[in-house]
Amino acid sequence: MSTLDLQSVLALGAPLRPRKLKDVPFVELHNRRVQGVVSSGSDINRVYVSFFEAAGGGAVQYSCSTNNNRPCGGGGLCKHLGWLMGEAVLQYGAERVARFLEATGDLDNLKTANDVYSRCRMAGRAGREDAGVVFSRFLSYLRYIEREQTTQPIPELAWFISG
Amino acid sequence: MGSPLDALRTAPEAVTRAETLLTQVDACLSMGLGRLGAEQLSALDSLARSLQGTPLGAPLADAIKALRRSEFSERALLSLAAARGALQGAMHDALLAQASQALGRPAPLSAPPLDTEVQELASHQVTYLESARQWLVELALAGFARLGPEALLPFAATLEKLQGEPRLVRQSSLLTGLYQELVSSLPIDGMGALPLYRWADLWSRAMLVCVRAPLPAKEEAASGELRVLGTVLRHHPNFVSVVAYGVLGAGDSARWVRASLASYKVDVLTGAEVWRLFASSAPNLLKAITERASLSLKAMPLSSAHDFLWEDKKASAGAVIDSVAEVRAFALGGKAALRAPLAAFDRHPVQLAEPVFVEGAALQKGDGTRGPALVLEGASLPLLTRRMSQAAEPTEEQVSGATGVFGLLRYDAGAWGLEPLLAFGKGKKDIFHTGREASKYKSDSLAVLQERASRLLRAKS
Repeated sequence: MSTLDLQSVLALGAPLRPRKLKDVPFVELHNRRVQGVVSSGSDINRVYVSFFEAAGGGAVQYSCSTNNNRPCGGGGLCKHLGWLMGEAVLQYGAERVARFLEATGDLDNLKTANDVYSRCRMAGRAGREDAGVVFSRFLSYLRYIEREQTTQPIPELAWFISG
Repeated sequence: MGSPLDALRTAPEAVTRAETLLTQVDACLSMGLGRLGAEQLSALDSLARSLQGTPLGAPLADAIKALRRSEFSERALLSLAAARGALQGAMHDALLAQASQALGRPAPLSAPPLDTEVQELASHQVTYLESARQWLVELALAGFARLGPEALLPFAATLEKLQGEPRLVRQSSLLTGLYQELVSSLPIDGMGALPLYRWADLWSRAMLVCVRAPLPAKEEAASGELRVLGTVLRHHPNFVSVVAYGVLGAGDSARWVRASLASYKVDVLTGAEVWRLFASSAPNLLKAITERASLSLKAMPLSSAHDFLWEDKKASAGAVIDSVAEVRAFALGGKAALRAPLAAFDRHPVQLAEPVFVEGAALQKGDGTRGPALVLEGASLPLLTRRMSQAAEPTEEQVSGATGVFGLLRYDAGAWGLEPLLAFGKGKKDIFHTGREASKYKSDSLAVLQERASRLLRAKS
C-alpha cells in the first residue's frame, strides 16, 4: 500500500451533494446500513425510521416503521423507503450507496436509485426491530445543531478543508 | 538578484531530513506498534538519536525500550507523539525563518506569554480525555492500515460526551474530525493510497491535546480599527472554523491579527449555508468578511499570539475598506504589519501562514502532473487552491484573470505554495475573496433541522 507522502492537508472523499431536508431530514451510511428518518406526509409530529441493510452476498434487507417499532402500513418497498433511497443517492451518489450495500457486479457509472436497486438482491424485511437505534442516531445528529459555538482560536482545524 | 520566490523553491535541508525520518517513523503507526519489524525499530532509534540531549531524550529512549519489549503503555505512545510534535515544531521554526528571510521581515520566533491561571478541568472532563487517549492507544496498536469498524465505532459514545464540553472544544473538534475521517475511509483495504503522514499528524496532535488542556495565550483588551483582508474556511463534516485575517491599527503599531468563529455542524451544511451559523452571533465580523467593512473595536480581547477572543458587541462596522491598497503593504520586501509568534505547543508546519502580496505574476495552469502556479520573474510558486475549502475564493480561474493576488504562504507536502485570500483585477468590482457570495445560499437546511431539534431534543430534556 502506497502512502501520500508528506501531505498534512487533504480533502478526503467526495463532497456530499446538497439536498432539501424537509422530506428526509436525515440519511446516513452507517454500520452496513443506508438508514435515516422520513417525514410522515400527513402528520407533522410523526416520522418513519427506515433502512436498507447489507445482508451479505449482495442481498439487501429493509425496514420501515415508526420510532416505536410499529411497521409502516406501506408494506414491501414502501414510499418512505423509496424516498430514503432517493435522498441517499442524491447526497452520496448511486455508486457509493451501492458499494456500501455490498451490491455485486459492475458498480461503475450507476446514477439513479433504480440503478442501485438493479444491483441489489432485495431480500425482504429485516427481522430486527432497530428503529430505536436509528432514531437515536438521528437525535445525535440533531445535537450538532444545538452545540455551543466558540470564538476561541482552534489551531487543530488547520488540517481540515472538506466535509 | 533573482526573485525572492526563488529562495522558497526548496525547503531547508534539515527540514527535508526531518521529513524523511518522520515518514520512516510513521510506518510504525501504519502497521501497528505490536508488529514492528527491524526497519521500523531502526527508525525509532533514529528518532531517539535526533532528540538525544533534549528534555524528550530520556522519556523517548525509555519508550522505545518499552516498545521493543512489547510493553504498550500510554506513556510510551505519548512520548512518541511528543517526539513527533517536537520535530515538527523545529521544522516550523526553520521554515518560518526561511520564509521571513525571503520576504524581508523579522521572524517571530519567541514564544508568546501564556495564561497560567486557568481553572483545572472537572473530574468528568479528565475521565473523557483518558477515554480518548485509550482509544488513540488502541488505534496505534492496531495500525492504521488494519483498522476496522470494531476499533472505531465504539468511540462514538465518548466522542458525544466530549462534544458536550465547551471547555474541550479543541480536543473534541479534532477527535470528531479524525473519527469521521477514519470511519468514512472503511474498508481501509479499498482505499488505495493511505494518507499516513496526515493521519500520523492527527493522531499525534490528538494524543498531545488530550493529555492536558493546552494553556491559552495571555489576553489583553485591544481597541482600534480592524481591517479584515481575507478569510480562511476550515471544516470537516461536523465542525466549521472561520478565520478572518487582518490588520489592527496603522503605521508602526499595525498588528497582523486573526478573528475566529467556530461551530459544530451537520454534514449536509456546506458551502454558503455555513455563514448562516454565525449570522446572529457575529453580524459585525460577518460584515467585515463578506462586505469588507472596516470595524471599530473597543476593548476586544486579543491574545499574545494575536488571536481575538471575538465578542461581536465590542465591534461596530463602518465603511468599506480599500483592500487593494491595504494588501500592498505585504509585498515582498515591504513593511508588513507585526506578526505574532505561535504558542510553542502549537508550532507545526501546517500552521505557517505568512501574508504576502504578489503583483503581475502569470498563472501557469496545472496539468496532469502538477497543480497551478504563479510565475514571477522566472520563479514559480504553487497556487494552493487544492488546499482550500470548496466554498472558498478566489478560485484558480479568478486568480488567472487577476493583476494582484494576496494570500498566505503555506508549506505542505514538502514544498512552499500560496493559498490565495484575495485577488483583484482592473475593474472596481473585480475583487474576489471568501465570503463574497455569502448571501447566495439557496436552501435552508439549518432552519429545517433547528425546528426538528427544538421539538425532539428539548422535549426530552
